[in-house]
Amino acid sequence: MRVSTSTMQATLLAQAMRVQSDFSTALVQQGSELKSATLSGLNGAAGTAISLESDLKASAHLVSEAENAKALVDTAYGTLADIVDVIETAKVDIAAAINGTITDTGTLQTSADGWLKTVASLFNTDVGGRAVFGGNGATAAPVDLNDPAYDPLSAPALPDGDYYQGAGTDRILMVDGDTGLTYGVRADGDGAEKTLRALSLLAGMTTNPPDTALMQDAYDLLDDAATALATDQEALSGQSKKLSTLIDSQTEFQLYAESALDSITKVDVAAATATVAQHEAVLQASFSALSSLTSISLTDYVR
Amino acid sequence: MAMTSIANIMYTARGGLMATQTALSVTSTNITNAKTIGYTAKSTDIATTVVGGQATGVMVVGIGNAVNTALMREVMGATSESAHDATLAAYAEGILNALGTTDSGSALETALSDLMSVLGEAVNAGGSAQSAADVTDALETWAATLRDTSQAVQASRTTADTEIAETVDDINALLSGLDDLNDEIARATATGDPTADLLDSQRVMLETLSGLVDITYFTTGTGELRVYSAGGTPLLTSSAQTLSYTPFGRMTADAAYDPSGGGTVQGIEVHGTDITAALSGGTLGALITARDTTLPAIQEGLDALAMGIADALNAAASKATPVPAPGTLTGTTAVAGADPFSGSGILSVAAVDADGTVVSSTDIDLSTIATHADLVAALDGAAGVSATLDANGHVVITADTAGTGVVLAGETTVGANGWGLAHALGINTVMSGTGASDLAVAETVGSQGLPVAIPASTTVGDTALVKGDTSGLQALWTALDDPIAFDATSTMTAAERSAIGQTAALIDDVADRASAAGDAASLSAQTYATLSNSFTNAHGVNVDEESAKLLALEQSYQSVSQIISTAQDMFDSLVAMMN
Repeated sequence: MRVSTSTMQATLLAQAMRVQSDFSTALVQQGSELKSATLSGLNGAAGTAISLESDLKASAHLVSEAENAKALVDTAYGTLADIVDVIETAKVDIAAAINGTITDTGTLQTSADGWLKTVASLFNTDVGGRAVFGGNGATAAPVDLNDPAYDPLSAPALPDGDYYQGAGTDRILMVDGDTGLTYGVRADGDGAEKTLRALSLLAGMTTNPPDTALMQDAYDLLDDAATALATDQEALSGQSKKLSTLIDSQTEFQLYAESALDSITKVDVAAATATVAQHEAVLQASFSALSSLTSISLTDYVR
Repeated sequence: MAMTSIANIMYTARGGLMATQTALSVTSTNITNAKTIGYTAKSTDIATTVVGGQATGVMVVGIGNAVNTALMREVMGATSESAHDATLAAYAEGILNALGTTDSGSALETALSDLMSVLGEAVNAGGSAQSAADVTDALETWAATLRDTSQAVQASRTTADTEIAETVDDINALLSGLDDLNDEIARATATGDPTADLLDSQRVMLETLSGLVDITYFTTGTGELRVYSAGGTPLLTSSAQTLSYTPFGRMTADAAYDPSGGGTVQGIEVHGTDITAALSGGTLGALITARDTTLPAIQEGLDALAMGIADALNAAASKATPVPAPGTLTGTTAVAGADPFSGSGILSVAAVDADGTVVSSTDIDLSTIATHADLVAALDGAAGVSATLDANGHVVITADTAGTGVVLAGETTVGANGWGLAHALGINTVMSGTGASDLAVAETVGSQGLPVAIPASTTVGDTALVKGDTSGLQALWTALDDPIAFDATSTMTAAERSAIGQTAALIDDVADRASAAGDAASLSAQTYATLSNSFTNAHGVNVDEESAKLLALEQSYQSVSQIISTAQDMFDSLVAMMN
């Protein structure tokens, strides 16, 4: 085949430049760890990469929300345990009063007032500015015994929820799928209402000696409340377990998604280094060929 | 045998010297032009001069080169294709980078993922004022990202359009240059001068021209070149046919070239005739394809994405109501009172107080309504509210008593697309716009508030809006998470995907196309290089070859000089003998 001098030089130079470009691409891959800076260089997996990136963000967000939720649920569980302790203490004292051991109404009334305040403040516990028993989005204290509408003494046998200032719906965490995950218990529940009503009745007791029928009613209410709060605790424990499972499975998913994303977008550093060395050798050979071509000329031999 | 004189020998030798000198000059020109682009190696054609049937010497009959015209045509074709593919690949890659990169991801995906996170937080925050403001901001950011991306597509179209105008200028300059060359070649042919160098210039111009637009060409019997576009329109006949094009300027999504005329973007014309359709291939063909097909397809994809998601969000939002319920609900979709109305289902129109308790409620059977005026009248007739159609054609429903708000509820179906009534009227919707380029948060979100809760009841005395209820925001979140039926575009089939899924699918589609365009470009560049190299290798100058020729010519010159010297000696001897 005949060749023209200029074309041959240009061709060899172009080849060398191409090898140089491959070399530079390999160097960039080694430096950035990325297969390609542009999405078109991901072997058709650009959509998967974008989806995975979004999944990872959503999952990280969900885990952080779920952790907040779990902190709230765990706090609620512990707080309910404290409230049940107060109820048990109250029940022992009321039983003693019914049996005639305590005869002074004033002592029981003072104790009941203390228990009431303790329980109310426990129901007003907050975690990071979120009212634990206030329902969805509540930040303010959910129990206000001074609410003008709250008057349990007027009809001791009937439930009175007017002390409740919180939201009417449970807290909710948006997880995959149509429905969110509801969590937390509210201070307008049966247990809370009965506890507060029973303690209010005792604290508002004016008869002396103590009214045994009223004390028995309060005792029964507290008994019911303890059962209801135990059910709430069971629910909270279930929620906590569910949130833990969610956090664990999402963390596991993130590990999988990260490795899947890496396999799409990143190069293996060892392989990239080997490629760089390989291209370097080819580039050297290419330059050497260019040098032989330019250094040889017929006129060097004919004279 | 005929007689030969010493003078004849001198004459023959002189011819030899002249021919050798010419050949030397051609060879040295070849060497000096070894690097000139488009220069082909010339050779000297010599012939024996014959007088009276006897060879009497040698003379130069021409300087020329015979190029492989078939190969040349292939080179021209490959030039067109390579320039075409390279241009399209550059545009595809450019717009892909506007959609996202490997390192920093996609702004569209980020805005949408953020929107979902913020919605999730607002659901959990009971739709507090701050969380609702955050959702509104996130919606606006997402819409702005779509507008920006759409603007990038249009900016790319504007660049293509400007480049079309520049390319048309370049084509005109080349055609006029080729026209001038035609005249020179005709003159040289007429006077018997060599035309090989002029043909080299012609070939260089032709190759540049085929890079700009796909052409066919032939040479007439008189040596003049004729050029046609691949579509058959004459570009160079006895004179250059000047193309004219006025660029559109700043492109918008609705600016389009219509081959049948009447489009907002003008065609490329010759003598007032639109020949755009006949101009394919090369840079120009690629620019037209980018401006009129590739980039609009991406705009279409963005529009389908934007409207699919916006409709899903609006469908969810319009079932809910801001909390507290606004005193006035204003629609964002213009209707005329006389427009026919077709709907079904029972619409409940309620007025609620500040606590969210229903104070009055009226049910309207939509199947009994025939026109929009009837609808407004029925709404106006509902207890506790008044309704009108304002100057913009928007339905406005106002609560009669201060401190109460209007709530719409009920399962309704309106019109051909089966939207709920509030959705159809644009009441309590969150997004407005007709495509990605004008998508925005609906104005009513600012004036009425973000729809947060779906009314729990419309029975008088019941609580419609429960404190802390975020069912409306949950519906918005679910609308983004659930599959949405997206319309087909010219490059993507209709599909049911989540909002993120469709965003990823759109980017994937553009990335795949960019990658395919890149592959096509490198393949056609390779083909061009191979063909161009075989042509220039066959016809270009080989310096070593010319050096060898130079040596041979030098020897030949010495030999012929020796003949003259010998003849001179013979003549001298003869004269000496005569003396």
